[in-house]
Amino acid sequence: MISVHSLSKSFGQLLAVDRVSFTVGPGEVFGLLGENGAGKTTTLRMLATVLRPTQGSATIMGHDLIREPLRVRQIIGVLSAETGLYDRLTAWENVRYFGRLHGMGDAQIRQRSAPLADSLDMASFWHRRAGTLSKGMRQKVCIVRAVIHDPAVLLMDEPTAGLDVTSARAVHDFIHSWKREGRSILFSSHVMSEVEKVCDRIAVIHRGRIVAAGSLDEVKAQAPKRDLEEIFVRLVGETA
Amino acid sequence: MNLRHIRTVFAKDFMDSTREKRTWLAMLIIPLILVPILLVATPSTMERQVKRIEEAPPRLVVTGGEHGRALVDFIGSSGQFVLVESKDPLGALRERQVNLVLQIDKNFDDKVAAGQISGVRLQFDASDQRSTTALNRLQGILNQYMHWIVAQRVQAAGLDPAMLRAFDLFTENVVSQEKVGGSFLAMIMPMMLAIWAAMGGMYAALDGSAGEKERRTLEPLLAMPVSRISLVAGKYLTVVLTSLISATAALVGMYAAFKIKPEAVMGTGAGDTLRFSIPVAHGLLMLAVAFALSGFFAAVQLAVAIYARTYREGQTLLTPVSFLIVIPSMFTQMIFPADAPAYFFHIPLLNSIFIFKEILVGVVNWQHILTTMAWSAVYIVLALRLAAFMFNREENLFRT
Repeated sequence: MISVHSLSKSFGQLLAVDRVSFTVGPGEVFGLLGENGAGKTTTLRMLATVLRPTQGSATIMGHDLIREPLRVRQIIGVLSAETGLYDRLTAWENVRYFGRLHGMGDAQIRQRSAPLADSLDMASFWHRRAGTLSKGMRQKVCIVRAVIHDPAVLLMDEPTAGLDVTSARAVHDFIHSWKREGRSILFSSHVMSEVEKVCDRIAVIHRGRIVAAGSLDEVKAQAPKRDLEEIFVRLVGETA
Repeated sequence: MNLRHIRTVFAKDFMDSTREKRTWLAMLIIPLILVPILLVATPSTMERQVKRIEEAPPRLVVTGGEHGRALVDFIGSSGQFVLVESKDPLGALRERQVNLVLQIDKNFDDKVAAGQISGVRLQFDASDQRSTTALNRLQGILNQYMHWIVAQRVQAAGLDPAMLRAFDLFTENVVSQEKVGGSFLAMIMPMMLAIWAAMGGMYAALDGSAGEKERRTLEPLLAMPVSRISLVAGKYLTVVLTSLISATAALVGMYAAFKIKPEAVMGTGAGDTLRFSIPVAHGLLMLAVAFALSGFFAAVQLAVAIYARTYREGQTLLTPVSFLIVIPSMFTQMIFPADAPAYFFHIPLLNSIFIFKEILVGVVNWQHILTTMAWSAVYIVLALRLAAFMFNREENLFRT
């Protein structure tokens, strides 16, 4: 469960996120839809406790971002297309490092990662160095790394950017399976079709502010053609 | 601070770092093998060059030779010069066809025979080592000739030439050859040891900070339930350990070079006359001081490198730090430990260098060592706080 109340973030004079509020319930995929630079990544970084909000508050599974950052980090998994791996470590060693930082023992990490690696068909490259892996393979390693500690909440920042169709589908399948397990997923993207495919509810974010929010049908109802891309262009145009 | 987290970060960063060839090159290969080879090869090459110059007789042009036949014969009989003729002696000297020009004054022989003062002029090329070597050599021969003439004149006056010698001069070295050898080592070894202790972990510092940003691994790392201070501490220990391995390799490499081929490093004959040895306890004491030095610079390097967006930018930012290490180290080369002012022992780097120098000449000054270690502890704490501060600043972590 994610609960965000009027969250803002400034970098000097630049207001990157402006009083953003939303909630993500258990078993729900919530999409943040916006152009590059709209404030999606900054919002996710604040929720990941990597950036400190300038104003507002947020809780994840009832834990306050600002007062209990270490507790929040224990229950979130973070996945982004932008994050990298340690190229000189194998896929397994990358996962093991993050598992250990979550306080897990090696046996526990092995036990937990085996079915994940199996479901993502990673056996052939599990002990290969990350520097030799394709982008799709690397993203699968990132997925296992992000969820090795069995988080209740997933923060996904454009996790399919730059992936081929097969790899993107693997990510989508993964999201669906985690959703079925009742976890809360915050998913950011600038690709309308992907948001339609994955998310239950969305918020359109532009220049740091949420300009529309609701279920897909509710947002689509705001335009006669009910085409999300057109709605997005209109919403963004209205606030430009 | 969580010890388990520190150990995890340290173990991963060190393993990751040691899988990179550059780490082995900087940490072990260069200080342990390359520097000692250069230490042996460079003086050997220079010595061979000097020897070659000294062995080849310089080419000398004499003008006015008809006025000083006895002098020309004296020079010729020494066998140390090749006498050549030239229509344009100065041009030949500038063109380096000859190494030296001797101008003999008019009626030189006659004046000398008459007990009068005459003169000669030596023209040389100060930019040519062969010419300056020839100058020194001919000055020696001319001095011998002058003394011979003076002795003849004194004898002709019915006096004993021995009266020209007022006293005999004897020199005697009163310290052991070990101390002389140690003093020689104290010029070069502390500088090298300090440089490796301070800079040996630079690659690890870059890899663990700017490298994390460049690989885009920093963000997921910051989202781990690990405090920043634990993260910095784990990375810091990696840099310190790498630096310490470098410093140990440098110490062992230099010691081996001095032991195996002392004459190459300290000059011909050193193998017979100069002796030295570093007792194990003194070696360990030097490594303890090197550890403190590494501890300070590791934190400084981490603090600076985390500001960089990329590995390359980190290298640029750390260049001034390298200068701050290398240049003062070089300036201390010719300062003897006994001449070090007391305040040196309060300044990072300088204090370590002078402790190394003292130990190498056999002096273990506990007051200096304790002062150095106490200040090092203060500097390390301050530098670590700076590093932690830099790792906490969003502006540094997400600079675009």
